[in-house]
Amino acid sequence: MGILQSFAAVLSPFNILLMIIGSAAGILFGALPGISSAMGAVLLLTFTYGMEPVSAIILLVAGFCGATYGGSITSILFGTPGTPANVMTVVDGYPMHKKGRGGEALGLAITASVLGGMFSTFVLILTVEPMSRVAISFGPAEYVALALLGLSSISSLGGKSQVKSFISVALGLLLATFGTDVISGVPRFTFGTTLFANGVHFIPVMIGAFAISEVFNQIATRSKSSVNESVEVGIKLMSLKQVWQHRWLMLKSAVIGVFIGILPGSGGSIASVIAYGEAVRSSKNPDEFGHGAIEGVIAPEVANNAATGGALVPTMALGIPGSGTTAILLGAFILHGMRPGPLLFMTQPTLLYGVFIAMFIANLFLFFGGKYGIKLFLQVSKLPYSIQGPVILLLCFIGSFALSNDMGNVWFMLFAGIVGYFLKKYGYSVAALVLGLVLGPLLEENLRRALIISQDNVAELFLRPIAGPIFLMALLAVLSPYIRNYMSRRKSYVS
Amino acid sequence: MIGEVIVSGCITLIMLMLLIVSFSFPHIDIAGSMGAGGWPQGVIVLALLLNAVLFFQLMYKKKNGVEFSGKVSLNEIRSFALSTGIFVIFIFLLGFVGFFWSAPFVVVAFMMQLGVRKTKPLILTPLVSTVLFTLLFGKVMEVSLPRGIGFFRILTYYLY
Repeated sequence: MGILQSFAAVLSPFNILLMIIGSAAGILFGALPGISSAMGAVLLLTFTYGMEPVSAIILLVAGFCGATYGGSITSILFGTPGTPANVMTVVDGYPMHKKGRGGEALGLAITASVLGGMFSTFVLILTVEPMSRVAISFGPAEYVALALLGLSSISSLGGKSQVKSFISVALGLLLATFGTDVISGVPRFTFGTTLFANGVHFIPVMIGAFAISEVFNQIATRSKSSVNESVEVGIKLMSLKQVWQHRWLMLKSAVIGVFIGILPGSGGSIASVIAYGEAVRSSKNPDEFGHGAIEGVIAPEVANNAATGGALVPTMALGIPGSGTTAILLGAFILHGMRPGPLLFMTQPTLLYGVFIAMFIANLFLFFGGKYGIKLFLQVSKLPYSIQGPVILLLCFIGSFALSNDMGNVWFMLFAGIVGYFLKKYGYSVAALVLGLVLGPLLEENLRRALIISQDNVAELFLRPIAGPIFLMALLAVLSPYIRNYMSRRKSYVS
Repeated sequence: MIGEVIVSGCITLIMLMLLIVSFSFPHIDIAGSMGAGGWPQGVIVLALLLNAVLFFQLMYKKKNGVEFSGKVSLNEIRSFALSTGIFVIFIFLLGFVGFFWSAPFVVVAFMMQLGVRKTKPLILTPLVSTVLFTLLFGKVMEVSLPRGIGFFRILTYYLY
């Protein structure tokens, strides 16, 4: 009954118009590297003051969905993630574009995003209450297990040298320790300056390591052919056959996205990293990842859009915002006279289901809006590299600076660009470095919390009912390439 | 070979330096037995061990005449250094003259480095991109782009 009432409340012409506007604005905000989805939500919030609560939340939620998808456009075309949630889309999306398969990558991203978003809202409508109960039972040990599962994909990232991939991830993990220690408040590796006091954000590092190093490399080699200009880039949506072929990957990534989105303090970026890792682990061709594997675009895009729905659960059910964007949504709820928390499920079921229905429909609009929005960006990608390169550098600067209006981030970006250039030249994996940087804080903080709680009893971490199996999966994921290698060698020896 | 050894050596040196620094972190009981330095020290030790493995792999490759990955020519290094230099100047310029006046410089400099010599694109591209980004980010999206100091700062308030 609640769902039917919600349908009636959501499907008014005005609300549908808001979904269209919200999705379109979200795509634009997401696609511009300087504008995060949180900043986009703030900009949209100002338009909601005179609206009904349901309409206001619909506009913001549609914007949130749009921004998460929009970030994939610049990730694929320029190697610069539009939002943190698109961090892993760069790893395979940008190489696809460089190989002249940009249209295919964009088509994969849009189809995966829409299907991921729609699936997550459908699942959430049915399972929101039990899932939020499981999420509450997640403790530090489970977070450690999840972070390790995410890191387990490094054994297949970067290809040629496993040792170099592990060194890259160690560099990322170490970089994540810079700044004030969250548990003790001790400043670490700040070298007496305020530059490192807040730590190293992964977005400037990502922009530097992927985009800046690439532009510098293009300039250094004077090769204008690396970004394929001559090939007409048209959007190639996923066919039904492709969707069917990757159904399990999409389903898995969507479930990962929804669940990680629900976990308080997590979000689209963590969801996309873990879904990517799982895609690598379960792939028959893990070596293709990092070089333009289509699964490498599908998995993170499904997961980050699925996480948008999941992220709303702790915000609405517990009143705990998991990210900047959901914090603004929480503010919007309060602004419009609602108090998010456990009682919201009982007192405002129409609104709760209304939000999910709005998300479902907003994702449909994303499909069409995204398809036409991409065309605009494709025009830019047809420009010669001598124009594209300098313009990408300007976008990189804005993307890093606008994160916190801090020149420190611009220096980090340049430094990451220099380091990324040499690491790439000598076969290190910058994707593994970013993986370490993204998952480092989650891993360290929760490991230390878990050890404090268990009084340094490490075995206790592995014996927990949820954490134990996840640890096992992570271990198998790390070992699987070696086991596969050993088996194939043995097979060839026997034959 | 030499490039690989230099990169590996640099990583080892940085790791050793950070390891030494990490021993100066104060230990606070509330932070658990691992303390603020335990985790980074563990990661550094792991990275050093991996670097040692890599070093032995390099030696093995050299002994067996296996080809090494990645070669950077002197010309590439020169061009890379010039790009870095231009970007560093751009960052410094941002502090003095702001985004609106320094953006055209960086666009022209990189276009010239990419071999563009025609006057028309050298004038139009920086002009269009700077005005477009200033209006889009500075005015529409209200991203606070760097304004510079003095006269340049005052001038930017008329633009964004």
